[in-house]
Amino acid sequence: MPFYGLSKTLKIGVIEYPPHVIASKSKIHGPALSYIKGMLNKHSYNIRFVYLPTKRGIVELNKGSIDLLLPISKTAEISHYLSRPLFHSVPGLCFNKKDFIPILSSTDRLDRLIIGVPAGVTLPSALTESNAIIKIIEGSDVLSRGISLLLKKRIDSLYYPSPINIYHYTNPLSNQVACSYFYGYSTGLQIATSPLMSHEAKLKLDNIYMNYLNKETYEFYFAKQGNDN
Amino acid sequence: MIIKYFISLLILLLILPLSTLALGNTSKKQEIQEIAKIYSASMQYIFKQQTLINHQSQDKEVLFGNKFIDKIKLTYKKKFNTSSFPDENKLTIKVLLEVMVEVMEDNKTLLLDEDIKFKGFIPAIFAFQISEKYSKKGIGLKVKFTNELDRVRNKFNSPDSWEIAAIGKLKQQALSEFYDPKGFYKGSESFRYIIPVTMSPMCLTCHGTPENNPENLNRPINKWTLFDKTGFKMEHWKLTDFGGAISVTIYNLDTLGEAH
Repeated sequence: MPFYGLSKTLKIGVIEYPPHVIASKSKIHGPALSYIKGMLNKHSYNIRFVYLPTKRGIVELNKGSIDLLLPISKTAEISHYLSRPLFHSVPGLCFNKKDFIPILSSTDRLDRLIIGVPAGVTLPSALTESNAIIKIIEGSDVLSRGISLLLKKRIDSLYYPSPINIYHYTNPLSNQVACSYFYGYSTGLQIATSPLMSHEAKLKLDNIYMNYLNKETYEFYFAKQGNDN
Repeated sequence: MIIKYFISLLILLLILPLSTLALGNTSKKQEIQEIAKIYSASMQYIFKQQTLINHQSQDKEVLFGNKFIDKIKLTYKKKFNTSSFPDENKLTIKVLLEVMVEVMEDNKTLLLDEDIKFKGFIPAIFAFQISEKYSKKGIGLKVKFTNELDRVRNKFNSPDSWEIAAIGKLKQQALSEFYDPKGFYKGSESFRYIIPVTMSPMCLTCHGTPENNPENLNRPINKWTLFDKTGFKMEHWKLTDFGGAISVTIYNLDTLGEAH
């Protein structure tokens, strides 16, 4: 039952975002979910995670059939979020390893490189002001297509909004590609709340979240998990 | 008797806020100094670990988690010739150390990547990542590795007007630090502090002359590259030049409207 009032049952929509949220055939898991679970269990909430693609997640959130949606960048289609982002993401460029460029602020290195860019994304000025040749990748599942173009060497590099999704030691793709980052262009990944959730309920949840963050941020929790591996 | 008592009380009431203010200023200065020193020690550690960082197969446990923080503490004690490390329970210090662990974890895939020879994880890049993360923690504190306007390679490290003036003071008066409890940051009065960073021979491998570039070793002069290994044109700096500065700002969260 959704969380319209001060009910202690929460239905949480989660979007795949490796390595924070991992969707496998049988289940969804990942440190972001463990963190949220740890936070809400302390306050005796009954929670249920539901895996949803981004667009559907937004629709379900606005309809009120889920109470929260995470992790998601701020968008005009969602009006309410908890006070602070859960974590931040930095965009970057992915390369075949032998062509790796580690520092992207040295934009001379991007001269005449063909860089695949998913249609519709806003690029950092470090890229737009460089002399790279931008090749827009259109259609559905652009990131997978981009990776495929990169591996076939039909592009020199792929712009990736969140390279950690692929260049992470838990992802086998990191054996083939390496990514570097446009530091200074990070965006927050939020926990969105349903517009149908009562003000009181949202306030209570936000207090719990802020107190929990102040004790230990998710970003530090995530880093510690990495060190346990 | 009663009059005497009231006069004493009045004097006490007048003195107390001033002494509290003075104490507040002293503790703020100490806090801001500690942040700058820890940040500086961490940059030095990254600087000294370049061989390990770029190694393609060596054990790199010391670069992560508590082991990394232990190394930063050791570097701090050695660099500042002290047996103690600042109080880790202080929020600003606790968060700074956490951010360091986060940054190292963010770079773990790269640092452990056995296929990549030069990782590009140099002190300036590490410092920038620390600054970026730290500024987003909502504790009203900003730390930054900056330099004179025409000497920064990344525009995000450009000095603001306070830093431009403060760097001028550091250089002209050969100061080892400059503290300003009423420095402006984004139009609001803030506690600001800056220390110079000394150039070392290792800095010259990127910022010096092509002769200093290890990639030009054993190459004839007409084959020398003018670019360093990070892809930037070498700037011909000398050891006696200004090496940059660490700038720390404690600003008022309420006046700048940032979420705590």
